[in-house]
Amino acid sequence: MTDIFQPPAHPEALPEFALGVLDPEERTSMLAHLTHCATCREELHELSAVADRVAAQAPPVEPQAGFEDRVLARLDGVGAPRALIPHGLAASGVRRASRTAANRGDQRRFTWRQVAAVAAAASIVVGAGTAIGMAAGSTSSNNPVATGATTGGWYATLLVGPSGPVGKVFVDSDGHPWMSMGISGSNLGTLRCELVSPSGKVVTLGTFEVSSQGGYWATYIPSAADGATIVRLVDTSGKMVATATMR
Amino acid sequence: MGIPVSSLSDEALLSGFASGDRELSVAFIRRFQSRVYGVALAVLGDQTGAEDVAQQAFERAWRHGSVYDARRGSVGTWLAAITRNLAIDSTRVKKAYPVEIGALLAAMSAGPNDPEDKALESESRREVGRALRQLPPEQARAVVLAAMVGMSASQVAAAEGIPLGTAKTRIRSAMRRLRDNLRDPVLDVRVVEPASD
Repeated sequence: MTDIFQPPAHPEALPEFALGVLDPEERTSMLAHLTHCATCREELHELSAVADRVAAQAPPVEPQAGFEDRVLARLDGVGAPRALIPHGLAASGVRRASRTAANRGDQRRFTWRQVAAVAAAASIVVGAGTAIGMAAGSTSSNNPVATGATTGGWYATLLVGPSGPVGKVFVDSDGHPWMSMGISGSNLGTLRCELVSPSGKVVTLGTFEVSSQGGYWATYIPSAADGATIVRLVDTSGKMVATATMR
Repeated sequence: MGIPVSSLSDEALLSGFASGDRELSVAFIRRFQSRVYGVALAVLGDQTGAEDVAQQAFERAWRHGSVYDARRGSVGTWLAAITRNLAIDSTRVKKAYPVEIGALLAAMSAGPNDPEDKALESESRREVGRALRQLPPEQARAVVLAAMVGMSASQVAAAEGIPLGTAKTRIRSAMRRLRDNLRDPVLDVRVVEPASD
């Protein structure tokens, strides 16, 4: 049972979390705490609004002439606009667990507030920085995902690579099951997260980036992954980078 | 004749931008480009990086414009948050904070110089500016460095030459005081100047 522990909560660090300047390890603990603390979620909502407003105080500076043409040329090259996070997400049934690099990292606090508001109804992607982004995801059933997750609730387990522990996974099997993970700085690049059941069935949950600063990622767990017992992270070459055992 | 685009609301322009209307897109970008670029420049400190981040920010706005919710804040604040987050991610890759912090703080406390910019400055911005000026200066500096430049508490500590615990305390106190002050706005007594003739 050495891989199961209670992460420390640091609610006094909510301002830094709202500002997006906590390191990955602290963010992981804070997020785990937030899932069960409505008071802190409410304070985070308020502090995030403050952080956004202070950020908007930067003195306006005109870019070089022709900026709008360069933006429009850029947009012409990337295709038609598409809503990544439709309103009414919980009912949308849209799944988009994997995101392109261009889509990562935006709207961290903004989307956290959305997460809190909809009581967790989609997959959450957190970039290598402080970003908490959200990709539209399926509204999974109330089935607990982890075999042995007896009465629901959450637990933590170590992510172990070839040279030892590289991070932690938090699993919350209450309500809409979801999981988050934090990886210490190791510049692993793009990793694919998979859940594996004892029968060998593999469900891919999405991809995320791990830079030299580490990485943090969270996602909702679809009912298709019910019964999964292993979390595994695979790099772009197909090499297994780390695994964790689910209860 | 339709309504001049210059008289359209921020939300209407964003809607036009997100739907791909060329004229409204140009108007939207022009309306917000200085603020978006300013936020990016505040974090990155170099024009090339700021230009790229500003373009990315508009791309994000274009992709996600349909999910913008006015109840969460103004279009300008929303765009600024997107820009800041992109810029901070960029600095994490570069691990550099080349910003002229002193100049940034001075510009912030002075507010816009240009009369046109002054006129355009929203009440929301003025309110935040007043709330920042109500903080003890050392707290205001700490929260600006964290919120605008994207510095962690340890980076604020290094930049200010103070212990890490002090930096954390300043950031946390400042954020909570700002929240309270913005919830219950206070008068900015410092802007009251004696009459001169």
